[in-house]
Amino acid sequence: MILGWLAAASAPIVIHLLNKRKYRETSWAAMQFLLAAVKKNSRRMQLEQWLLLALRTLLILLAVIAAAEPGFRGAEQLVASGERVHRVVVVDGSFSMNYRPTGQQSYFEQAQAVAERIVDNAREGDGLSLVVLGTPSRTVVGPPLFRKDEMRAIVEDLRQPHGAGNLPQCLNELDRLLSKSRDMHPQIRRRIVYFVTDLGKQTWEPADGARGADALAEFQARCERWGGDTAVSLIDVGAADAENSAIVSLEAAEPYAVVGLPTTLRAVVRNFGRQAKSRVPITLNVDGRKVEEKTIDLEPAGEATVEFDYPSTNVPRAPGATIYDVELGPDRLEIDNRRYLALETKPNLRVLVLREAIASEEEEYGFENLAAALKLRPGADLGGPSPVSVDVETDDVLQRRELKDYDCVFLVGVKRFTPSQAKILWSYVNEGGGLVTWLGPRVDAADYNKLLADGSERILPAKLGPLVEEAQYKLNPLKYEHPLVAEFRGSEQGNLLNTPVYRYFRLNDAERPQARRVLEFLNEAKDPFIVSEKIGAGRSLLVATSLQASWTTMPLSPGFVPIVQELVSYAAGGRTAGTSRIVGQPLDGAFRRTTAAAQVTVAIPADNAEPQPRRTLTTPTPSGTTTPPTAKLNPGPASAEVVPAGEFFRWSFAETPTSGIYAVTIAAAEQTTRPFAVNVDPRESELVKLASNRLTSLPWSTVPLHYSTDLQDFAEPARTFVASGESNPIHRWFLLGALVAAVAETLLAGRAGRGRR
Amino acid sequence: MENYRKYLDPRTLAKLQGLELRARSIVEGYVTGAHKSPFHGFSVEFAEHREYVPGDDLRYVDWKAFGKTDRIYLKQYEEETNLVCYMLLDVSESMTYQSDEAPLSKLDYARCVAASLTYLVLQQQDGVGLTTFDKEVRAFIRPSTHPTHLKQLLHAMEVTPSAAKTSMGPIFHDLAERYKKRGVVVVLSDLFDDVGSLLAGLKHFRHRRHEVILMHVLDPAELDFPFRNMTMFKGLEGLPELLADPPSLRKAYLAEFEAFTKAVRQGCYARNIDYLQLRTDQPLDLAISTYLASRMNRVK
Repeated sequence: MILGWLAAASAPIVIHLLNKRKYRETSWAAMQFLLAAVKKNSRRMQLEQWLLLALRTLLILLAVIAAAEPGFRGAEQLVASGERVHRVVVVDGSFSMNYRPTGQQSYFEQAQAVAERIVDNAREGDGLSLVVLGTPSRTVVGPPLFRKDEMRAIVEDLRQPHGAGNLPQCLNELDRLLSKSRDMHPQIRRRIVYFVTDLGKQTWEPADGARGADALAEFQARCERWGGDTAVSLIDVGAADAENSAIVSLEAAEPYAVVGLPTTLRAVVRNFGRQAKSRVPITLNVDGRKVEEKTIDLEPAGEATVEFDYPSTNVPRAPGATIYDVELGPDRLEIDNRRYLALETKPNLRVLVLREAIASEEEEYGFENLAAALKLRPGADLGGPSPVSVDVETDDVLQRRELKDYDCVFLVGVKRFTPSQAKILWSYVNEGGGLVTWLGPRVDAADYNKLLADGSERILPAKLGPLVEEAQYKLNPLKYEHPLVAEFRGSEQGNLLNTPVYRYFRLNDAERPQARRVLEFLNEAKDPFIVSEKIGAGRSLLVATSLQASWTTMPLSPGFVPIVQELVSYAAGGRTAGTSRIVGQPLDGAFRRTTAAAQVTVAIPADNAEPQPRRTLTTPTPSGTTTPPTAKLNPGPASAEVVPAGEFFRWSFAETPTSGIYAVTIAAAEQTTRPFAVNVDPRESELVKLASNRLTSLPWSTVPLHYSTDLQDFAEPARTFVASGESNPIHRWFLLGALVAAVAETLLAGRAGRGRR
Repeated sequence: MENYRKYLDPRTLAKLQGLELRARSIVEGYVTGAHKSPFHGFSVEFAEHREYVPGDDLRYVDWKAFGKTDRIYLKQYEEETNLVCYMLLDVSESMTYQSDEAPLSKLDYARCVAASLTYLVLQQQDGVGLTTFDKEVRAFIRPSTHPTHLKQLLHAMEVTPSAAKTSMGPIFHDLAERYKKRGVVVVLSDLFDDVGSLLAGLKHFRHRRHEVILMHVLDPAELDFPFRNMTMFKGLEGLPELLADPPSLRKAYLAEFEAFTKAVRQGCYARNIDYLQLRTDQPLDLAISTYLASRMNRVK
């Protein structure tokens, strides 16, 4: 090719010689002047002729060389290999990318196509990396991969995760990736980070204050820190703001389910769009079976709450883990139309009340009141057996009875505990049991503080202070922020807040950052009345007073039944509430260390009708193990951690990139399976797009930003940048030389008389 | 002999009819009001009265008019005199050159001009003679005022063959001796000759008190040198041929040619000779009438 052009360069010489041979003839009268002119100018003319010939040849030669620049670049690459580029593709994996415009691929599939194109367009010697922006963001391929076919296969294998986008964390990943790339491959001197995204506002400029308004400036600043050798290319696959509706929450009215009581489920549906939707079907599935369907109307930007009672008839249901999912009629974004809830259905709710063997009449009356209040369940058949079974026992039963069968344990005015009793209680709470402690006149505060409220194995949310004998008549609900009293908001039952309390222990929760006050006295000291704390997997509640009428008249007030039932619900909820997660949050738990080794397996929810993969996470060694990481995103690498902690194994499983039910099977002394419901973050359902000029108008200085919406031709600006930035400038010198030669030719030809009449 | 009529292009002559050919004051006859004329009283025609201004010759005061009006008027005369015009036509080989751009060869163009002037002069009852020459005199026809003389002159122009190299200096010296009566000498030539000898010859005419009008006939190609491609120039009048790249030579050639025309022009100016450059692509009538108009202005 180049030789052909070089041959072209000899054209002026040939033309020059041909010109000498070819001429026209004319007679000429003014010959004497012509002869005189030739005589005077012959030397100069000859010189000019040769100069012109040389210049014209040079001009063509230089232009040809400059035009042959790609060929040169290849040659340079062989010598210096300075042209190589590390291309880092960041695919937005926030679930809004699942949006499927009419008759098109989903944004995520389009982003995959873009990524494949980037891979295809990469030159030999270019390194390729792949990061999926999500919660958490994942570096799928970190160290640059140099085999395009392998990278292509990895991109093809990508599955849409169901999380929101966590940009700051993704930038952390990129920081690590780029700095490693610089260390490991110093010969690659240029880097391009491609963000393939729908520019969802929730990802790029989240509304919540934490990473709020300055998110874009922060993004720019972080990119700028990568330095001038890194370019950022933003490829926008998203369209303008889109319509969407989603189920934003699914909760059971009670945090547990018993056979004899129907479970009430509340689904909140929100329309994020600007158009009203009518008769949208919403379905309740239980264990994968369709149970009930309702239709709802949604106002623009409106919310609707749908309640399902299951079972709706008096059909008895089997105890065991039950999986509820509520599904909304189809729209363009499917992932957020379904929400899951896993709830253990128990034969009945078992409550153990522990008391002193010897009690006064007043105390006995209090126990009876408590037991009655516990057994009264709204909705339960009053004539039939109560769905709650209450065992009232003395404290010495602690040594003899297995507590884990109980959902909740009440300690009522127990004087003191032995260390072994304290240990049993601690284990029980840690495994998810609920503990409610009422105090009383016999309580040995020092003993309580020593055994139950101190050290690493404490189970009380506060220390006991002195006994206060000042009557208090008012309680502060603390804005009803605690879920235990949330039900009382607006419809305060039985005048709970005006209950007189004559005596109470001053509780000290100052050293417990995890403890939360449920109610406090409305006095100057702001003494706590009820304090809660999550201890391990369980929950512990401490009430500052006694059940005796001489301490408080609460058991006589209409508010007593609801508050007791809420205490039980909240305390017993530790076991069930622990099974709900948002995508990206780890699954975790603890189980008693009865064997030397245990196995935890997690059944990952089936995705896109693929066979359900079952992954064995760990076979714990004394220090715990991790599984070897793989490059594939979904099913992801299992970086589970099982840590022996005292008499427990604590386990966690971090890879929850998709929503659905994760069935965790714990195989220790016996095998138990608990389903975990993992749901999408409802904030991501709001499909508001960030205006691209918000990003492009930022003052980019060291790192150039390229923005493109063209999914076919996006690579061009990036490549242009690469070419102008990284290519050896030799060819430009040739071009400059050709230009100079052209100017010189024009001047010389002008001097010689060419072009003038 | 129909083809000599082409020199009398009606378009050309129609323009000339409206003009009046005049010699300058030195030609025999005089301008009205110029009392120093040696030929006073000759062929004088009354034209109009003019008011007396101090310094006027009292001989021309119209006393009759003074008697009637009590104002002093002068009689003004418009004189017509016999003018002798000598046409000198160069018929050398170089005059036969005609470039692609030119409608006529220089010789044809010069013949047209000569014929036009001859006709005009004869129309005014003045005498006109013709001499054609190259390196020597080819034809010599004495001046005459007879209208039939025109045919003879045109015939002489037509039949005179083109021949060898020009040599104007000696010929002009010779002719200056032969033209006895003072008159207007009109030279039509490309002047491709030695400038010094040429100017010496013209000076001889001036010495003989002739009015000289030098009409320098040139081809546009000789003035512009428009050639672009490699060209073999074949010299006329025995000059050698030359293969050259015209664009590279153009500047030098134009410089040489400009030096030549400048020498001629300055020589003419110094000797009080009227010089007129005629391009053969210029309209014939325009060339002549423009010149005559300017001459009339100078006379008045």
